[in-house]
Amino acid sequence: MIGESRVWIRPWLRRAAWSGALASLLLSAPIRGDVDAGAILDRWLASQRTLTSWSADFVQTRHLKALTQPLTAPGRLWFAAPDRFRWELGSPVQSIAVRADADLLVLAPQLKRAERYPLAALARGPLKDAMALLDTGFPREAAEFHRRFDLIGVAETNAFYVFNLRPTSPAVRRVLPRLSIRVATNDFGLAGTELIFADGSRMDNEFTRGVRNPRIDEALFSPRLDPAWIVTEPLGRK
Amino acid sequence: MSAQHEAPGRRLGGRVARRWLWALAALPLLAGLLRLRFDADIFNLMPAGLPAVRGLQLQQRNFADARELLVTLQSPDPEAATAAASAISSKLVAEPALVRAARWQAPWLEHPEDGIENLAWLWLQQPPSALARLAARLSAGQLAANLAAVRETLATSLDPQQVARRMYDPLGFTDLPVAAGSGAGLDAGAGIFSNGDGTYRVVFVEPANDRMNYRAAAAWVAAVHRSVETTMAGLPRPHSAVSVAYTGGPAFLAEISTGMEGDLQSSVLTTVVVIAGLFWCAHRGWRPLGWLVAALALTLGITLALGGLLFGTLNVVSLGFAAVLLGLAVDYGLVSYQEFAANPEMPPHEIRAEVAPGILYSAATTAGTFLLLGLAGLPGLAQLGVLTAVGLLIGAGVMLFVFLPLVARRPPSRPPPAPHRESLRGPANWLPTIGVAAFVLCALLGRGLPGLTRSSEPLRPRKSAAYDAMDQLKLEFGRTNEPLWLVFAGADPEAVGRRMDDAQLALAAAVERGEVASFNLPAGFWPRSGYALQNRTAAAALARRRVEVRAAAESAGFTADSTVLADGVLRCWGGGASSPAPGPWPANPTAQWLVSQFAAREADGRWLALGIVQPDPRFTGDVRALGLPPGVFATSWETLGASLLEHVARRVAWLTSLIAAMLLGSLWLAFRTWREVALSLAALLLSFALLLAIMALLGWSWNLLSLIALPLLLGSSVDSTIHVQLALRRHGSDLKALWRVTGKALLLCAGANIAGFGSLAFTNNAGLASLDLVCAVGVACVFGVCFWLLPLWWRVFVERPRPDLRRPPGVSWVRGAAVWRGARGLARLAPRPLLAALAGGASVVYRWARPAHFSVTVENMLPVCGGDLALAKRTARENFRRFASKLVDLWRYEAGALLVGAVQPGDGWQHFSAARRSGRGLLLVTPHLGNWEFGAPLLAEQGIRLLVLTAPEPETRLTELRAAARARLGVDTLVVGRDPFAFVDVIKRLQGGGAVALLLDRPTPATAVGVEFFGRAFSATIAAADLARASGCIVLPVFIVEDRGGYQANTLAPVEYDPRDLGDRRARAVFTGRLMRLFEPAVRRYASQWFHFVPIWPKEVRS
Repeated sequence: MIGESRVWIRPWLRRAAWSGALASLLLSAPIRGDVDAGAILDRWLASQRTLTSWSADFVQTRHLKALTQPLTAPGRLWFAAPDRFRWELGSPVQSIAVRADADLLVLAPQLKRAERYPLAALARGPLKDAMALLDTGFPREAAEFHRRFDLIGVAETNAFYVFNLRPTSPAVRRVLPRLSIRVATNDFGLAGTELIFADGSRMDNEFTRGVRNPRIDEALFSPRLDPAWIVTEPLGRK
Repeated sequence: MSAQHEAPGRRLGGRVARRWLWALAALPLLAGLLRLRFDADIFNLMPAGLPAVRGLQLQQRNFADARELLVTLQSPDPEAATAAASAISSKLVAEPALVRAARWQAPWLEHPEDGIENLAWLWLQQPPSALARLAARLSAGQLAANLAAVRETLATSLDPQQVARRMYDPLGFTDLPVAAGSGAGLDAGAGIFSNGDGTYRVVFVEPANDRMNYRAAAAWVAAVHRSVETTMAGLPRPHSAVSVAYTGGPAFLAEISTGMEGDLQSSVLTTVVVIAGLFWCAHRGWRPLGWLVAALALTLGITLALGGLLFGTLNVVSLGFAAVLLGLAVDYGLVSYQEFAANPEMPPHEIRAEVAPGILYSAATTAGTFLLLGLAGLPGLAQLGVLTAVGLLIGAGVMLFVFLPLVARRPPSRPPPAPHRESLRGPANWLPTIGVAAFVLCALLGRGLPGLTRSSEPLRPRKSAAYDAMDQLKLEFGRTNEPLWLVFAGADPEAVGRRMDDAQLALAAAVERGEVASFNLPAGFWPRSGYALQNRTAAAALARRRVEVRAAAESAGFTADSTVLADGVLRCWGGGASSPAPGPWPANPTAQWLVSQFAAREADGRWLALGIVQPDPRFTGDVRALGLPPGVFATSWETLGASLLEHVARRVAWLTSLIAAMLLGSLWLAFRTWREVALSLAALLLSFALLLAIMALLGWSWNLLSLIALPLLLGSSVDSTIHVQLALRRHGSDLKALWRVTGKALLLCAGANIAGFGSLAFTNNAGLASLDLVCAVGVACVFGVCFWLLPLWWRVFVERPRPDLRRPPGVSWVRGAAVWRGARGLARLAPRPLLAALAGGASVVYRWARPAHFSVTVENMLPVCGGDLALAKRTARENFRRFASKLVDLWRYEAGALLVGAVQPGDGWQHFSAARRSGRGLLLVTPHLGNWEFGAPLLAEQGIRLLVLTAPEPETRLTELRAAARARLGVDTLVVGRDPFAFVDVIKRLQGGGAVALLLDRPTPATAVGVEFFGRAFSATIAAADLARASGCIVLPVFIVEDRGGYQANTLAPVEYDPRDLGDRRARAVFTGRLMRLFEPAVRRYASQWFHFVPIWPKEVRS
């Protein structure tokens, strides 16, 4: 009676895990485990509480095991508290990830294809821990960070704090065993992230032109998809 | 055949022969028991021709996952779950006698090289246009551009799977146009062997023997349990803290069958205990109870043996017949015993004669009803029906001929109370009926009829570790609703493939219509020999460009790792991948495992494929709406219930009509009056209405299993209505006697049945529990109506004085005026040999149908045969045959068709001639020996007009009919007892020299005197002595018997007497005894023509 489970392919699960981890971790701030880290965390959290929106350009570098040279792509990111974001990658834009109130949309503008993931359904599934990352966006409580990450160490280089982290969730850890987040020491602005994947691949994001609390067009979080778009819901409904 | 005493040696020989006969009869039973097997295959209970059943049966029997045990492991730590799964798998694989295979991870993870071979094979099964497109992508002109596009995708894609795939397959070898699911063997097996985060894992365990019966399955699952527990105990913490559960086909089979077996055992035990308790309360005796239990065991044993002979293998669900059979067969025993307890002075054969009609008719009726269940279209129900029917007939025989004689050896523990007759006429009689009817109406109008649950939910256990584990598995793997299985069948893989293609179109349309959410067919991994043949050339051409392709990838920045897949596929195509494999699929372990999940081959060589459809919540469940092509079975456990109900519903109307017709026929045979038949039907209707009302009030509904209660209740209801009404006849509507004799027995039966069924109400199987609850309530309703209301109706509608023109109940139908007239007409037309043969056959049937009459005849013959029972039985059998022959001649005689000269003067005729010459009145006395009526034509030849003194026939119309027939033949008739002054005319006739014929051995109560006959007390009529004393006539003993090929009129010497010596009644009684004893030699010689079918020897009071 379970035979069909054997032939299921759950691409959406891993895809969602990737997207969720990527988006959340990029937009989240780390904490420190020792006394200094605690103080830094408090200051950073304090600054996060006043953060209502944020936008930045970035360059993403992917060090893939299958390629001899890294791949880079420019992109842009918008965030609106408490948990909405828009992530654009490529020039011209090749991929967009948008989190609205109830859905996560993954768009391929060149192909006019869109995938819609209801967040509630994602949170009920087997990867709910990974999906939980999507629900918070910018966490502001220390306890919440401790629940999600183990702080491996903090490094201070030039004008940045680098938080080396490990996800507490085994499920997330299977995909993403380690990550680091780099913030500016003066204003705790997000400067970069590094995600290290289970197969040894690495993804770096270098943020530039970051703007704190800009006014963001609401339409960015509610993309209008004309009839030419092919929208699918990988969770089952068409 | 004349009755003669047999030599002791011959009697001994008879006993030996009888023992041999018993031994010979026991042989087939022994063979049946040896042949008997049990199985728990639920599909054997269902109609194999039904597509839903056929499809599910094919899926369950042929595809691996239905045969595998699933050991599920859950831990918050994925590493612990992984370690436990790996250890369990290794341990089980090391036990080849127990386990054929145990898998805890995708086989392609253990054999990654298989994926490349499988992918190469898959491409060959694609349409040639697809391979052509791949070739175009790899062409020298497009290769570099395509690789650049892949790099762009790798840089910008947010789809992790796409990134992962393109990293190791930049050339798109895994982009199969016809999806193969996991067939390529390139994913990690999530959703199959583990959930997404690895905290939940499944180990698939394949038994070494995949054709286990339910007991073997239970033992095998227990052995796997032990092995797993040992393994887990040996793991270090936290690995040993992993929670383990078991599910899958063998776990379900073991759990359900052992649970059901336990339920049935406890039910039988409870029933026996309750029967014992109730029996003790009612009778305070263990001995009869012991015999009763032994008789039930004998009945069950014989029935099982016959079941083995008939079917060979019995399904454990069909074994439910045992509970039904015990419940009904115990009725027969209890009714018999109760009759004995109420009449302890009666010998067993008389008790049997009393109760046998009720028991045999109810057994025949109930058995017939159960046999008709075979037409319901459910083989399991048919088997249950046949077993119950056979068991009921055997049970009736065992109770009447084994149990009753055994218990009647000793007097009952409790003396019977004195008879009491209640007067319960009047309007108050109707109050209970009105009350029950009002309750039924109010309940049904207020709550409506109970509904019908169409789902297969009743088939699953209420509490089940295996089901709980399966539910958890569904949750972990994100399954939300029950899938629909598609089984494709065909003579060869090509035929199956075509059906799959057609089904794909139909399912795509169903997706468009919103009936199907998704579907998954193994079309991509299905062999297409035609395509493979066409693709070989193109594949070989691509293979030749292998080095060039790899170089292009490397120059585009891809590492050697990223081209392993493409290189491997091209190598396969170049290295003989297109050469034929042993089967249609690649021979590597990964492919073989995958194939076992969706492909199978039946013993007859047919190919099967398995697909899955996830129905949309809006889907109605009617699989015909999907428009699937022929040869595709769409089914699921969810739709099975509805399909079975629809299948049965088509037969319900005519099955009900058949059962109703059979019931009517059987009830008519049992009662022979439409009023009692109607009362039985009314009791049935009210009982069922009462059951429906209670079900409505309690909020119960019918389901697939509880519907079986209907025939069960029908059988037991008919049984009760027959027992009660026949008991009312026997006891003359004495309600106290009814309660004392039959009522108590029926209460015991009802109590036992309610307890038996009620004990199963707590069983783990929801359907079985509902069935038993309905049965328990139904039995209570039936008992209440039959015992509380039916007697009241009977007294109102049946006991009313009826015109005496009608034949009383219980009297043979042969003695009905209409039948007599018809038989006489037939006798006039048909040749005697034909009629004699028919009558002879009918006598045999009658003997079997009315065993009580036969027993009475045997008892009557015993003193004549010197107490030799065997001789008495043989004589009684001959007696039946002779009587049939006599009837034929009598009908022919009354019809005027008896040939002149058929009756000849026999021995002692000179006595008649001398008496005739004396001129005195002639009183011809005779017993019921031979055919005394035939003396009349002989006398008529002599110019004598005979007056026959006869008792009235059971029907006045028949008395008149026969008197008229005699009159036509010159014989006068005087019906004794009608006119008290008629005897004056008889005396005058004798005094005037006339001839009068009188039967001595069948007196009316007023003329009966006790005499000695064959050394036993006997009742004879004193009328002959009265007439002799009053008229001084010659008393001439005569008898007319069939002998030497015709009828012989034999005369004994006149009986000397002095009328003055017959002054007092005592002297006349002595004279009557003398007359009777004169006939002893003749009766002994012609015992088979001494026709008495009612008890003639007064009952002896038992000590």
